[in-house]
Parts: sequence; structure tokens; C-alpha cells
Amino acid sequence: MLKHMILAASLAFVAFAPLPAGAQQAATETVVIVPLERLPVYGSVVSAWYKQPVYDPNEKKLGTIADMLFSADGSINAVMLNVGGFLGIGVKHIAIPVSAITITQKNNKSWLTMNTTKELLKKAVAYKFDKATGLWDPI
Amino acid sequence: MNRTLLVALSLGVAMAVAQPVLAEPAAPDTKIVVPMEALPRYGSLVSAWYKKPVYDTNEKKVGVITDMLFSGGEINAIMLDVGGFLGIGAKHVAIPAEAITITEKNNKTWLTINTTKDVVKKATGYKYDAKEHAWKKM
Repeated sequence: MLKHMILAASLAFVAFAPLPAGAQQAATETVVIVPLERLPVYGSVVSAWYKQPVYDPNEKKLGTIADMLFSADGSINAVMLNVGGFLGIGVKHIAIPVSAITITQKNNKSWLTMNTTKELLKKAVAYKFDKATGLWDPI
Repeated sequence: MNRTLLVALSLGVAMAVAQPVLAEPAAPDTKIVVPMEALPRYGSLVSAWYKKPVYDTNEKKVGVITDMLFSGGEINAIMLDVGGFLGIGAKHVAIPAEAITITEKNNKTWLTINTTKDVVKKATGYKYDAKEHAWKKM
């Protein structure tokens, strides 16, 4: 506790000391990133999703997560799922809201499920990754 | 326009018919996921970050992204293996997502972080606990 207080005090000193010398402008440009001392609250990890299979409620594999789209504020707003194998065609990527996929556990491994039908996947808009722009585009 | 209206109307009729008969308790269990017809606005892709190298401002490799933590669909921390940068085996440090900048270089994505060897050396190390599917302090 005391150590923390001293550390906080010395950090405050370091932060304030350069200011009179006119470093305010430089400070914003050269802000050095300090890694987190503790983790934020989190519900899941990308490694449990990315490139992982997704199953329907009957444990039939629907596809594999090919990508996850997120906005500038860090919110994941779509999951790209390759459902080509399930449909019996080569490759077809469809977009799913992240909230539509449920993560649980099975045999001590993460297990992703989604409740959908072959018909819906067949009819769904397909997307393709454009390497030149680095974006997913509707086909 | 006309067609949309018709579909909306017929859906409305179908719902009006169906509602008194059943549905309210059954609906949440049998909710079928319909794929998206258009993409939402997005700034970046996990595929451009996950397992990718991150460089410092002098183009020296700081580490590789090994995981991204999210809560309620929001990425709130990035796990970076800085072992190579420090010349040790493996050390994962946690970085706030907004601390890494994505740009392009030679037509490929280029991730940068402004940090120093000293800072990552002193930083808390984390290790993935495969049993609990969670990252733990080392």
C-alpha cells in the first residue's frame, strides 16, 4: 500500500516536472504506452473464436470463423463465417452479428453454437475479402 | 417500395394471426439467426491484428499479438508476446486496444505501439490458463 503511494507520488512528480519546461505539446505526441497492471473484466478471448468451428444446435458444423469486424471504439460488430463446407460448395462467407453466436464449453474446450438453417445460409448475402483494400465486400 | 410494403403487411398479418395462438414462451428458444444483408460500419478486422507483429516507432518489432480480450462484444485488451523483444522466451503483456495504431506499409497492415524495452520489462506478465480459458498473472 505504502509502496503504491510512493509510486503514485513519484509518477505525479515525473508528470508535473517537465511541464514548466514547456513539454506539454511534446507530451501528447510521445506518450509512452505502459502495459496494464491488471486485466479488465472480459467475457471471452478472440483466440476462442478466430478460425474456430461453429455448430448448430444439433452439433452439426455450420462453418468456421474467418474474421471478426470491429469498429474504431473496439466493439466487434460482425463475425465472418465460412459456411461453404456446410452448404456443400467451396467457400461462402456470410456475416453474423456477434451476439448471435453463443460460446459454451464441451470436453473442456470452447464450443460455439448458432441457431440457423441451411435455407437461410443459402439465401444469405455472401462476402469476399478484397486484399487490395483490406475490406470485406458483398459478392 | 410497393413490394416491401406488401411483405411488411403480410408479415404483420402472419404475426397477428400467430400471436394469440402461441409463441411468446417458445420464441426465445427457437430464435433463428438470419445472416446480415449488409455489413455494419467497421474500422478494422481481427485478421489484421491476431498473430500479427507490432512494431515500435523505430520499426523495431516489439512483439506479436497472441490474443484479444473482449467483454460484451467490445475489445478491451490485447495480449502481446514481447519475449522476443526482450530476448527471453515468452512474456505476454496486456495492452489497451487503443494503444496500438494500425496503418499501412507496402500495401500491408502495419501495427505500431510507442513503448520501450524498459517499460515492457517491468510490466506485469500474463500466462494463458488452458484449463480455465483465461489469462492469469504470472
